[in-house]
Amino acid sequence: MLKALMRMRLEATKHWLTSSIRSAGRQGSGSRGKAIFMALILLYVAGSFGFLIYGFFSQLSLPYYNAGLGWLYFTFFALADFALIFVGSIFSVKSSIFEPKDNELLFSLPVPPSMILASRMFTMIALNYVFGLITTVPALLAWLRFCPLAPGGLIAFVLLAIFIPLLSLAISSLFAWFISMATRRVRRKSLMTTVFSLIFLAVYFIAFSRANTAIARLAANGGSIAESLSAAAPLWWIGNAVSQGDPVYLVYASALCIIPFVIVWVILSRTITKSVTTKKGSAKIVYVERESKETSSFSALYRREMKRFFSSSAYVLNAGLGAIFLVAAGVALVIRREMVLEIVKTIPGVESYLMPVFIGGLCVISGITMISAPSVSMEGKSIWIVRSLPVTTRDILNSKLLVHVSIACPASAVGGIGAAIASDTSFAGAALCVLIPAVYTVLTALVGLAANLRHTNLDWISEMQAVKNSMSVIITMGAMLFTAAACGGIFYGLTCLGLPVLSCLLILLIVIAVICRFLYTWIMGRGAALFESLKV
Amino acid sequence: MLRIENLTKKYGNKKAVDGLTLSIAPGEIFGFIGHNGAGKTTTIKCCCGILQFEEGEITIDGYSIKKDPLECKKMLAYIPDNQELYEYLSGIKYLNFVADIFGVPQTERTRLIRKYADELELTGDLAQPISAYSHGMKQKLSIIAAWIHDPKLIIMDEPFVGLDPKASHTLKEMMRVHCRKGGSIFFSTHVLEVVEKLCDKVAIIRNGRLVASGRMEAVKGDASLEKVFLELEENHA
Repeated sequence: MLKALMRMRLEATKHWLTSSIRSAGRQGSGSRGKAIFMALILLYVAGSFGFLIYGFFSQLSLPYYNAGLGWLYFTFFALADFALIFVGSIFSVKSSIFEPKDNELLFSLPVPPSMILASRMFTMIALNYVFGLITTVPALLAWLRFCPLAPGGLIAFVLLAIFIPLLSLAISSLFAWFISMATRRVRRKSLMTTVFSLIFLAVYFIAFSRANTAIARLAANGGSIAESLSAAAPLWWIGNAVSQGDPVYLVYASALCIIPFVIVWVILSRTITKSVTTKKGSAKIVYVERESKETSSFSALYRREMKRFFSSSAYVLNAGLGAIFLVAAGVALVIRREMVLEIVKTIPGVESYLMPVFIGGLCVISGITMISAPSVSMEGKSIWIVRSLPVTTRDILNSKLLVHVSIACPASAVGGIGAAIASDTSFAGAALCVLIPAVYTVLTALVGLAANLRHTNLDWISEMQAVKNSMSVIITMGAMLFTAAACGGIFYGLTCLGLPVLSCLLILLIVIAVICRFLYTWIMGRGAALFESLKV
Repeated sequence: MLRIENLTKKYGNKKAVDGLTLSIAPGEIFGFIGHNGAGKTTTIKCCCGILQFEEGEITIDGYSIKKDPLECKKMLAYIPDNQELYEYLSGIKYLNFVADIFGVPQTERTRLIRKYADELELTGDLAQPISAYSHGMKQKLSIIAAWIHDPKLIIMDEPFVGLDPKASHTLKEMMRVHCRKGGSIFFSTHVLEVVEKLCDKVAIIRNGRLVASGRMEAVKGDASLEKVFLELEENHA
């Protein structure tokens, strides 16, 4: 039975992959080439993150090994692995486990709820392993390059790489279950879920930064590490399980990951039917006739898109997190200016380029705001409505772009103002601090929409398939990472030619704006034709 | 009002609709019947401009759906066979969205929403989110959204599915009134009794080809529509 359920999930994934390739291949070129291209993009995105993580861990491995702090290295690995998996999956667990569209179908079949839960968790675990690889592979390579690892340690590392995602899934599932139960009677479910999730994420980041601080303090006080760690024994077990290949610590560390997962699985399998099928409902909203304000058709389309975005916590939290980070970055640059400068100045030779570094950072954050990237797919089966109404495709696409821009641009402006204050620049510099991230935001919106027009998925079962795990989102993320790197390269090249920083930034601004213009023309021409050819 | 000439629509190599020709005059109710997979929904989607087709021409009040899709869409309303609406909106917000798109003036829309929502007994639920609606309530909302901008042509795919007997009766009355005022209705259904009693004209489609079409009396003669339909099905099997 579980096999059949899992086969169905795999079929859904296969359908998603093949339909993405088909939608890419509808231009007439071969689908094999497109599949290879997409695989390369995936590799590129994973590789970019992996390279950053490798860089981080390769700075630690040898000094820690020489200082006899191998355990600390692997504790850091475990924390980083857990953190990445957790942040990567926390916002998708609720919609993937509790809210898929096939709930009514599956719960009407003679299938034990535990099997349905297991099949859904299996998909989540598979996703977690993919996220986990981005940390585990670079961390292991960074260690093996400089330091020895006993066979027992290697086995422990592999086993922990398998078990840590279980702990992460256990905590995120428990949180999703709590949210699911707590919002059953709430009228504004999406808003409450978003608020709960952001609070939880903030608490998580605070706890995580405290764990890091505690470890750093212990590392500085080498002699009393073991003693001091008595309160944080799990970290000690994990680190020593790998560094010493100690089987006892491995058993402790494994139990730490597996037992919570089993407990959560038992709780959820006993309560999932109730959480999924109990519709307590909220008090009926009484209709009071009012004269509604008449607006233009474009305004109606824009408001509809806005409502679509804010009505889904999965959409807000996964696609709009970049905008929240932009605001947070701007505030941090002003309030924690000294601390930020201290961190940035550890990069050699960066002092004379503070403003470009801040602008670059804001552009990277802006590039992870994915509001437009799933916007066509989010139409889902109701796409017939806009297609049958007397509105131009240009208006439909413009409304999608405008929603992205009107949410992300003010956020990037806050970030830009923060960057201008922190870098203590001239008026022209301040203008560039605001303008470049803003134009980069427009570029992200255009790339996202273009990617989604090429890779539309209207057949999703869970919103997460469109919002997070879609080809258009992956492509946009890869493209924006590449663009940020390319901009950095162009800037470096221009400064090597002896151009002043402000001139270099101005040239970059013009280049990005020209690319935006080109992409906009493509979207309104070929992109509109693709939208009109979507199967309703 | 609606002219379909030699319409051909292919999915890959398979012809879903093959050389279909028919026309609907102002004031007519036209029933479109056929077995499952006969090509009814495909034809309807082509008429609404949401499905591109390879051959033939469709015109609405003289405008080509291929060349002037916007002009055509301004004159028509479409109710699909599925009930996929914007679940994140309330019923009233959805109706206002449609009214905004069609530029229905403020006072007119308020009057029409009140009138049709009262007739279909949906007024009390208009403030509820569509996600809380039953299948029948969504169908009623689609009907109100279709009627709210007073279109010249209403195209419906299985409009009676999910409606309770009273709402079905109300819809039939709304269809008659619409046609008395000069509007036209083109709809598909499997309920042959409804077609027999309600329609001025009927078309029967089988495997994408038209096997009978014309005024109701001419198609069915003295027999029942059900008998004629079954005979045609057997003859063309």
